[in-house]
Amino acid sequence: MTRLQKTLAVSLRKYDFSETSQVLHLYTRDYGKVHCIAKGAKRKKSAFHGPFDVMVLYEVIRLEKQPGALDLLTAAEALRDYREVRADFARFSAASYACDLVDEFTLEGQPQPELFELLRRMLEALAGGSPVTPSVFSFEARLLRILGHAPRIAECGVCRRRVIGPETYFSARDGGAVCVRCRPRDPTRLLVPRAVLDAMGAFVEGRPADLRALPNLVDHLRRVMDTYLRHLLEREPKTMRFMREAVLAPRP
Amino acid sequence: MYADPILRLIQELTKLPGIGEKTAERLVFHLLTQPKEDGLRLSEAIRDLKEKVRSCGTCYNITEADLCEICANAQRDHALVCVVEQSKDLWAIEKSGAYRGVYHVLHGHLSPLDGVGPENLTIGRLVERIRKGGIREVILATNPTAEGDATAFYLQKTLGAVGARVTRIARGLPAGSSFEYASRTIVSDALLGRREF
Ligand SMILES: [Zn+2]
Ligand SMILES: [Zn+2]
Repeated sequence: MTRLQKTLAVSLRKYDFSETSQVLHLYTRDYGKVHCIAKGAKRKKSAFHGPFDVMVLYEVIRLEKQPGALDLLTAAEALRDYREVRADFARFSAASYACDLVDEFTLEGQPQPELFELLRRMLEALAGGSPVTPSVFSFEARLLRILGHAPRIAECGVCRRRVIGPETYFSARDGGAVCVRCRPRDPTRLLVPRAVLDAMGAFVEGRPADLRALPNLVDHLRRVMDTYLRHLLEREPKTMRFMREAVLAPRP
Repeated sequence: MYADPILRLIQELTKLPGIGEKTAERLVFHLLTQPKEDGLRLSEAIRDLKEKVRSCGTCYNITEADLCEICANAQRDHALVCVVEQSKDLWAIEKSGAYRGVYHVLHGHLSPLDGVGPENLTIGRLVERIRKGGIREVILATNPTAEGDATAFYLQKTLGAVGARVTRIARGLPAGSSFEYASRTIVSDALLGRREF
């Protein structure tokens, strides 16, 4: 059984498959992540108006194949290329990171329209000049929430009591906050000021977070996020070091 | 089960772009039927390629000597530097016959998705070249892709900061494509239509 499907898609990765064809990882609105082949996409005249690029919003028509085989793209139109992010390497790094995280956290054929909208809004925000640092934290936090990995912030993951006091542990293995009394065994635990987890909680819930509440709040929050994401993915995505540089760079 | 030498060659061949296991097998069995000298000539050609071909000490174009034939040519305009991603882009521009300056080959483009940052390209050496002086204009001829654009903007800032006059070729190539496949007229139009950022 094969059928044609029309949907919106953001291109996460492209690979040269042959002299004229490309393999693409698309994150689609209606079908989740899709790996597909665009035959002849690099030919001068093709059904695709030129080769595919990464970080572009397309409307695509794909032919769904049997599991294990690559889907076939039959037509595509680029709707938005977020060109503005290319003009600044920090923005470009953040946009690449957003695509990479979606690629790393998803499997094929599990539609999550919310995640598609999140990615699309993130690229739009970065192209529109939104500040990089809060955009990245907010993207990560919402992605975690959509995927069911929202960290526990208010109560201790061990004793389940409300965490109080000026400092709290963050333990990736325990899923978030652990109180000072329960001192987690997780070797990657971090002891951070309470305000760090408050900011994380705000991002998860979509509230504005005050990144200037502490002088090195951004550094702390970055360390917490990095640790947590590395724990969930069991490795560090390639784009992470670029994102870190973009987020931690002093900006005018 | 194949003998070890057969398996090894199949494995090596499948690492090449566009060659799957079936094709590799076919190639290996073809080689088995060929005279010994033919096979050895192929292996020698590959050895020569990897041992004798290296990067030009100035522009990073591929060469057999310390300097590539373009850098060694006194007839070229050495004050005009065209920056390309790969040597194959350089050859596409050379074929157009529209360019008399010299080059700088980056050996890639900025691509966080592939883990490639500024330090993985020859950008540092380009900055050194400019600092040494004698360069009138740097023409950015990266490909019109997301990564090519990002690389051009990055270079514009970095090279501008060391005082170079930086221009970029006109957008004659379709988005997402590369020089490699462009026609002579498109390449020379793109060069002639270059402008400052
Ligand atoms: Zn506790
Ligand atoms: Zn040279």
